[in-house]
Amino acid sequence: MGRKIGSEKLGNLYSGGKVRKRREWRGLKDTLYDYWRWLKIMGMLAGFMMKPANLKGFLRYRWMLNYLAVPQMIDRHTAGLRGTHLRIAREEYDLVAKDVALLLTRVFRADKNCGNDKEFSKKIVVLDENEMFHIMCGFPNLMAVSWETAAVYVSVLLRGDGVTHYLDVVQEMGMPGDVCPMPAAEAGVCIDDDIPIFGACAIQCNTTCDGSLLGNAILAKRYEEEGIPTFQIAAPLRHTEEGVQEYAAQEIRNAIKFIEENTGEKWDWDAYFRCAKRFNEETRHRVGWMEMSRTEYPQVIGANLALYSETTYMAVAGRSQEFVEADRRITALAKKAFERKEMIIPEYRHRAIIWGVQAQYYTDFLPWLQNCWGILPLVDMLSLVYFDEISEDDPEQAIYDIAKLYQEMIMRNRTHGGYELLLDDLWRFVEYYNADLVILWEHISCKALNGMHGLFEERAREHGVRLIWVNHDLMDPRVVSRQSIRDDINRYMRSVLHEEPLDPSLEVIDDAMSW
Amino acid sequence: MKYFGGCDAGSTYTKCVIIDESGKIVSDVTLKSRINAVLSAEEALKQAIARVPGLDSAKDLAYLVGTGYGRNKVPFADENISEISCHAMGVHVTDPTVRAIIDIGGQDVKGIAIDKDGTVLNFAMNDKCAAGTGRFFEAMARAFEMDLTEFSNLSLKAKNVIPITSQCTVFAESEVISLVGEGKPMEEIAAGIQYSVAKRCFVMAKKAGAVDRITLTGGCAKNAGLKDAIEKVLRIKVIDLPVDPQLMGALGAAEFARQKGLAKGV
Repeated sequence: MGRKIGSEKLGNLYSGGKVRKRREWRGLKDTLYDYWRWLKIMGMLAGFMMKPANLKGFLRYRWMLNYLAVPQMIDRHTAGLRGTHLRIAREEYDLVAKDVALLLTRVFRADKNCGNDKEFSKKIVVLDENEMFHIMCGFPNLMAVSWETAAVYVSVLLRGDGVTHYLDVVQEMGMPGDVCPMPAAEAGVCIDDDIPIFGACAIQCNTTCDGSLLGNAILAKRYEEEGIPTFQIAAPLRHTEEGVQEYAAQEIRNAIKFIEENTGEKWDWDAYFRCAKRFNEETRHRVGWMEMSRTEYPQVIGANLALYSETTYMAVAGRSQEFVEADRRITALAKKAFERKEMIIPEYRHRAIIWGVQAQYYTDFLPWLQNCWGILPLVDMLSLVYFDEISEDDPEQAIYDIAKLYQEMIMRNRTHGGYELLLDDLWRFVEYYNADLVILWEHISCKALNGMHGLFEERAREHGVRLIWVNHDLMDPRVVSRQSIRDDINRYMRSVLHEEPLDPSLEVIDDAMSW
Repeated sequence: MKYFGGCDAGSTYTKCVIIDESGKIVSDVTLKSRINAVLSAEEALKQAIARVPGLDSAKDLAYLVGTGYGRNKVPFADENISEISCHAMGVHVTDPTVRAIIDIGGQDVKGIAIDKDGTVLNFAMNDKCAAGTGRFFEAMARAFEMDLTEFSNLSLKAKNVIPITSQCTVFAESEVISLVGEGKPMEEIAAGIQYSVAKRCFVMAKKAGAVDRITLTGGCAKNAGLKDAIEKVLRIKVIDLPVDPQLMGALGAAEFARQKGLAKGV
């Protein structure tokens, strides 16, 4: 048996040196397991650095420094976990880490600044970080690679202030400071000449906001200067309407044609449907985990669910059997834990729905909610995506499926398509998951969500649901600190709910000691 | 006689209130906060204790609660309670009919909805920028070359209101300087400033669901021009408290100390 959950004051892990003190004692069995997985990650990182192109990439790109924090990022997201839940989390994070290592290896092998493998580069289509990868499922001989994922998205997950330099760069160039920091950081990487150059062509997607469009324009200009033609999928915004579906499908046909013309490869339906089968199985697993969260014994929740879902749903898109195998293992573990009525933390005080767009620099906020206040983050808005199964044999329907997935990708499916998807669905999910609390992320640079503030308040009162606003600035912890995010919760829990924390050592912690 | 203390370590002022077993205020002190919250709290408590015969030091208080921005730095407190809860309790013991509070402190503004027993039902706050806070008024008074009291009364004489478009303290100051330079009537510019803050307070109050039987607390509650503007924006009469509204946090802390101290039999 592992050491009892909740038996260690987790705030103590923030009181010492950065790395040494962050190892958590979970009891002999769980600590040995965790240490073994930690060694595997360290081994993988060492193996990664042995490749000359990777080493060159590490020395060439400023954002690569963030990758030194990979083991610590996993530690932060597995804090307090024991037994089955530790194993579920490690299945998820370790595989995501391996997938990112593969992504980086491909980036640096193809990058003209590092490996400069031109033949390899010709087999790559560059995709956005925030984009469905299904468009590549019918090209088994091509690779979909997103340098944005490596340079920005993952960088911030690993280290909270991992992209602040690029935000400064983009603002020095004249972009306003209140633009969403995600596209701003991506544009900053480009302006700072920290962008790896590779690929036969690029496919972008009009994502969620004006900032994103602006960022994509800067990137497209840079790609085309390097001779990388770019196609932007203009997915319709009102994606729930029937009338836009034919237009959306035509955009997918156009994108496929563009890739064919620029790579010489032909779309392969057999390959696509193999991916579709895997994608459907992954969807079934995810739905199964979420169904468990309706009961008293949720098993796959919070940050683990959010980060893993983002990877499998959007970036993997059924292209990897390894993720299906991991899903099967996670489902087996979760079912066993469910039958045994295993709990993730010692006491469940509140069942919460996490709504809005999360602070990318503080994704371990959800484990903190669990460990500090006994708030169970059952499910988050970004994981509540498209649950219908896609066609596994009909090419015409498949085009519409891909178009639908593009329209309903993460961060897009609820911020566009009508206020009902953002506002009304929340209360439906509150009821469905039997939640008593809503944690509402308020990304202060996101104009799309900020306009809805008053409506959320009104509806929360109508439904008699407790709603806690949590301010953040997505990728810039200098604007809203991690302690400020915690204080939004601390204040509400103490002032309105009159509760004491499960683990008081976590209420105020020193982030200066954290990555 | 047992005495109970509340110390509100605010960002701009540190307040200390001592009450007796019946809840009656026997001493109160308001001091400008120093950079070191510990020193401010110690000084405020020392002065408050000196005004009560029979009290020599913090140890003579049966129970003491710290609150406010620097509450974690109040070294002699038996426990700390958030300023939101303390303001609600302070107002409740002062006037139990109040159901909503707009608390405008030195560096934040809060809307608080309270229940009939003084517990907090909900709150909303702006602590991310200086807009609509005491700092905002300090900056505006500086732009007018007036002290705060003079500035707060100026708008009461205005026949018209010149709207101030920017709520950001930095931009508003620049806008005000331009308007003064253009020779616009000072009292009408001042009224515009008070209205801009009143609208911000209205948003906070509405977000928290605090819209009925409303009162003002915090240092800015003494700003007559702001009170007048809030009454016009909210279209309700703001309830005047019989006790200095700046003391509500410390008074609430002292009341919590009284309840907890008596319950523990100290």
